[in-house]
Amino acid sequence: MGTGDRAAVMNLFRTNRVRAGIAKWWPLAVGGILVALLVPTTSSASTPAVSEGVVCNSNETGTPTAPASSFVLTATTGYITTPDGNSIFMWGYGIGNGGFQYVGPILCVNEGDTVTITLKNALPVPTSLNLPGITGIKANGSIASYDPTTDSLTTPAPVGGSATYTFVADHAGTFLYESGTNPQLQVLMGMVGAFIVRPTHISAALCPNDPQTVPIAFVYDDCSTAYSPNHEYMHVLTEVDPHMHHAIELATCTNVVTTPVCVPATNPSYDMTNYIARYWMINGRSFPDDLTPNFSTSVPTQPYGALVHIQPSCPAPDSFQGSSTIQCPNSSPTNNPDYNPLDALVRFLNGGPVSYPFHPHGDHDSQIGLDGRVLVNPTGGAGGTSVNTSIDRFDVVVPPGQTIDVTFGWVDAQQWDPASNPIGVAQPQTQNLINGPYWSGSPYLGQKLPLLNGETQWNQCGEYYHFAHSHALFQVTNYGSPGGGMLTFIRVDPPPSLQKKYGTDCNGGMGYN
Amino acid sequence: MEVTDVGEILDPRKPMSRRSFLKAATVLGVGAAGSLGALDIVSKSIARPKPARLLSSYTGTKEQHVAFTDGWVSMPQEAGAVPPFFPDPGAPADRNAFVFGIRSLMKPNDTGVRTDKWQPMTEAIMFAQKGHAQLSAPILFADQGTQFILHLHNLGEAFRPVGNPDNHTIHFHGFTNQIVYFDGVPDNSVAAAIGRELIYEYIPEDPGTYMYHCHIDDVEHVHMGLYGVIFIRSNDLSGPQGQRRAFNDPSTLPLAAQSYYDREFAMIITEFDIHAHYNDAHNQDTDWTEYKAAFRLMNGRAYPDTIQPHFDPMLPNLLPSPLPPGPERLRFNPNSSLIQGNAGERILIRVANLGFEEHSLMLPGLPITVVGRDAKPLYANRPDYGVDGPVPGTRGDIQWTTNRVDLGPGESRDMIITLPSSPSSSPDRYPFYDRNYGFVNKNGTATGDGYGGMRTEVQVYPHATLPAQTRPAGVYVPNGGGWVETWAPGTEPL
Repeated sequence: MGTGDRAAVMNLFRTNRVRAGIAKWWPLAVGGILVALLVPTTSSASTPAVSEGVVCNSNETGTPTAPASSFVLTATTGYITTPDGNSIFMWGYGIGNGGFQYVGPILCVNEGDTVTITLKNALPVPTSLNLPGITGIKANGSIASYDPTTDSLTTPAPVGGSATYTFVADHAGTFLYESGTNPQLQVLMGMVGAFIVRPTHISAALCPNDPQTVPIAFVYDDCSTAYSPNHEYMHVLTEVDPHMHHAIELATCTNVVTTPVCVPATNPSYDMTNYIARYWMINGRSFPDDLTPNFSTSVPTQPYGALVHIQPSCPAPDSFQGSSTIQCPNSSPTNNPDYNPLDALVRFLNGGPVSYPFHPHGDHDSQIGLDGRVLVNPTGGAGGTSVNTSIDRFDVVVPPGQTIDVTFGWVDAQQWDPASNPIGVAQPQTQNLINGPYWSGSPYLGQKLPLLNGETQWNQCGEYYHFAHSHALFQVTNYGSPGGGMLTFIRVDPPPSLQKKYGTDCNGGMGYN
Repeated sequence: MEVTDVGEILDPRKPMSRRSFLKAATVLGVGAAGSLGALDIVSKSIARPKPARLLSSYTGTKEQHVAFTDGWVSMPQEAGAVPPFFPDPGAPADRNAFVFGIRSLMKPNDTGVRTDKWQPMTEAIMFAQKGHAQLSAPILFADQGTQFILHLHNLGEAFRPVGNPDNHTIHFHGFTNQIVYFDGVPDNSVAAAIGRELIYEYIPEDPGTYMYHCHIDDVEHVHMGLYGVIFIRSNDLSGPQGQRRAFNDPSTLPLAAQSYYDREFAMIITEFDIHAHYNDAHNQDTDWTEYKAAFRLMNGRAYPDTIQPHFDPMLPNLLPSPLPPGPERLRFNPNSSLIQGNAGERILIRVANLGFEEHSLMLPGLPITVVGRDAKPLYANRPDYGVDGPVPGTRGDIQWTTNRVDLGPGESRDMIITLPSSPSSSPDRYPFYDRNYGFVNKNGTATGDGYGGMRTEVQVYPHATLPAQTRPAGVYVPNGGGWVETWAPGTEPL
């Protein structure tokens, strides 16, 4: 496709956003979350076949003897797609010698590990790896530092060369990694990813108030940061100005065929006064693409989904507010398969240039970590004791460059039941309602009823879908068209007893133990 | 969709004739089955008095009706023109901007007793509110433990061009552990078509400040005006003089850290992009990625309108009030943002941000203690709501005292200010404003510097000047040597 054609296509999307179609209903492929909860991965063979949540990348591909905390990242170019059909040129990272992906590979290590990340540079410009929040980084054996030649924030890898960064991951937390060279351009071009350090000085045995007989994990070395390792999620928040990306694509002569031959600019740049974001993404995908599973073949360079998938937490107390004791003891009902004894975890990372106010429907997020530090004040309590400074938020504003760890649970507070405890208001007849495609047809968790003939119903088993999205609502669009962008779902499955009661089957998701 | 005989159908002051009712009903039926018989009014099916599983602190049922429609409101008359977007050339006299909006369909009882519980308007008067949206939506509230029933009536739109039938929902933003049927997300549950009604039930457990809005084409419907503040009041009356608390904090806390208050005020803060509003009135699409606000609003008004008292869109009002009518210009911007109190009183200010920008609110001269954030208390030993959170009693005090509070889009704050004990005038006035002043180019004849937008003020009167509020957000105005309370439409007496 020539440059003129490409510009014409983009202009089409710019101006021809009709109200029908995606503006009103999102033509999400049915395969989205209902059928293909488990799909074969297209990444390296060592990538686990996990369809949701955080998937840590393997270490150096092809070198099984390398330690688990040794990684190779290749900075390279590629393309992503957006739900409205646009194709966008990107810079980004691949794992090992693998191809480009967006966002970058998730790198996980353990606290105390000596970490080695080798950055190979296949871009036409120098680049470098910046790890905000990590200290004591050595690059190629010396202290990583500002490079005046390339104006890099840290030691760069030259074009066609590499740089090796080594450090000790001395505390647990959630961290961004991103380009430190011309970051205004390179980070926005896609050079951003997540780096997770897991705590090693904590265990269930040290936390008698936490469940002892179920899988448990911790975000930090503190008992209050327990979560279910089967429900660990990541939301890397970013945005894209496709015109900037197209300008860089042209300047680097990528996929450009002209006469005379295109000459790549040595230092491609973009006039940032013209910058206007048009797409907003979670984990490198815009809604509804972000509902499809990890490694979905429909978005081959955007491997990470953003669906949060849980089932209800333990039964609600009559009132949380003001009660002096937790009505749902952590130790009970530990072995009841109906309830999550532990919250889910969402790690927010803002790789964009502005704050994103992220609003979860259904319940508050409990903010327990900030920028790789636990929200516990070790001496802030009476007599210098430790106090917990976690914050409950129904809107988590994530500033640029920040990481925020939150736990999330949803409680079936009223336990509505069509026979014994019906909702307290009259329901209009179905034909007097506008029925959404994810609607089960019933207010009751686990019950699935038919909608009208011809109405789309993607609901699987009477599950609930709650929104979770930026509340700067122009960011919940794909190039201005409502119902896209920085938006995902929280799927709440009915517990096994309700599936049995209503004869539905939610099988296909991750384990619930 | 064509509305003829606009005056008769749309004048809310007159009950409709049978002829115009039938005409209105036909209009309302567009997009649905389209006849009087298709009007699916389920409001007769009243909620049962108490759900089987409710709070131990059940305090009763509160039931309200609201209407969703379109209409015309007024930004400040001091604002300069930006042709063709502002003032909108299609606006009627006295108004200058097109909105979607939510109206209360509640009215005082016919008893004439100011404190009696309110009742729904008659259906004919409900339907007559079509085309008479207000900005912002009614200030709603319920008490902790109340079964709160909210009826959404989608009246349809009188002025929006053909081809845009708008369904509507109510999303109670921040309500904990909501089921999707009552969460108002159209894709994941249900919505009310034009001419239809949908009933929501809330059983609030957690006091604090929330917001509500339509979630259909959310960027458009929210920005166009389908937003309002809603709050849940604690039942705890254990303040030192029996005052209500914002949260259920214990009386063992230091007094300054407690959340009891003498008066309460609530405001929704938003912005207003004149291009988007013009586009919706003139059948144009809006590229929301080029969002650019012109006005910044508190309770749907820009300064200096914000410090006017509450007005009633049902003018000449149906309320048993001795007040003279407010200016016709602000009839559909009825909600005041004025904050007032007597010397030494504690004032609770509830703020929710449903704009698309972060706002930094300044109150020089009066320290603010932030006691709640996103409808959760911040005091020492505050409860934990998580499944596996910290051990009870280990959550620390995270209140803070400041002269500046910032809120991102979708956030709320509950703030206590203590008024100075000896004002020097009646009243002393403390501006309370967004640090991004929301500068508006003034028109040629307007006085002032054009500075305004998201700005109101706190007025401090000498001791025992103002009577007690009879309802949240009640604002007193001088009247014949005494005081009379104005209230936001739909705010029932306590």
